[in-house]
Amino acid sequence: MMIMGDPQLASYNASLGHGGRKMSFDPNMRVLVVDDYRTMVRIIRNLLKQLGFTNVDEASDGSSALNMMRENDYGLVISDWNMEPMTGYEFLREVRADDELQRTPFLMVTAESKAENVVAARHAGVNSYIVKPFNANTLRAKIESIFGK
Amino acid sequence: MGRRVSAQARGWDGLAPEGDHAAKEMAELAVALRDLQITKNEANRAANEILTACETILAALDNSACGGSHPDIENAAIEIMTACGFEDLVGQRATHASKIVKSLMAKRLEALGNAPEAEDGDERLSQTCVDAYFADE
Repeated sequence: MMIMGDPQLASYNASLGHGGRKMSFDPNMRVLVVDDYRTMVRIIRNLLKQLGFTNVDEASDGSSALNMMRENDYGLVISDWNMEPMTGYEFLREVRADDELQRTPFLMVTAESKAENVVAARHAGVNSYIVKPFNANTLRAKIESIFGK
Repeated sequence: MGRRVSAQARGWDGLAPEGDHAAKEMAELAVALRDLQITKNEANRAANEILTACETILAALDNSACGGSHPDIENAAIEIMTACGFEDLVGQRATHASKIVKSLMAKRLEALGNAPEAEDGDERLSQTCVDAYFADE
């Protein structure tokens, strides 16, 4: 569903090419998990392993995650919202504003479930959004929806 | 303008009745702050212990001679692991509550700054209360 009016989203959608394109799914692709709660990173890492993703890196905040993205090629980013000093939302906007990084699939996994947050994330170009608490099936379904499986 | 308070009226901790009430309030808020931190710490400890046990189960299944023939056990371990997300939610709520408590403590401190002066200007709060307010989470 296209949400018009946000220049950043328009830029991101344009980067997908005319008519959009499905992102390529590769179980060997590098995944970046960003969350300041070590326990949550551990949970997501284990769930990803069950889904076949073994090449998983982690960061505890948006700033360090951005640096990692500029040094490595990630096929998927999974990020929390509530982090400091850079929130997951600010991190998402930075990614979508970067010419090199803007096409990276981005999945938000967060306890923030207010409508305004979901809408803001959508406007900023998030690919999918999971509200905590979540289960393994939800994570699998959202990842599959991003890659059109 | 403050008022002079007799030593007799102050009580054992050297505070005027109004200051005594505020100090007790501060002590209660400090206890609440401490309890929130303990809650976060215990939730973190429990979640990590559960995760370690689940990872042990999954690794044992991977390494067992039966290979992948225990999907029920694997699924159960994954469900338990996913449920450990409670620690994240507990931690976030406790952090939010801690910020509110600290805000209340700050307001009490400000109010005490305008409280009636004691005769000899002695301290109105215990070091414990002050330390609790300034403690990092």
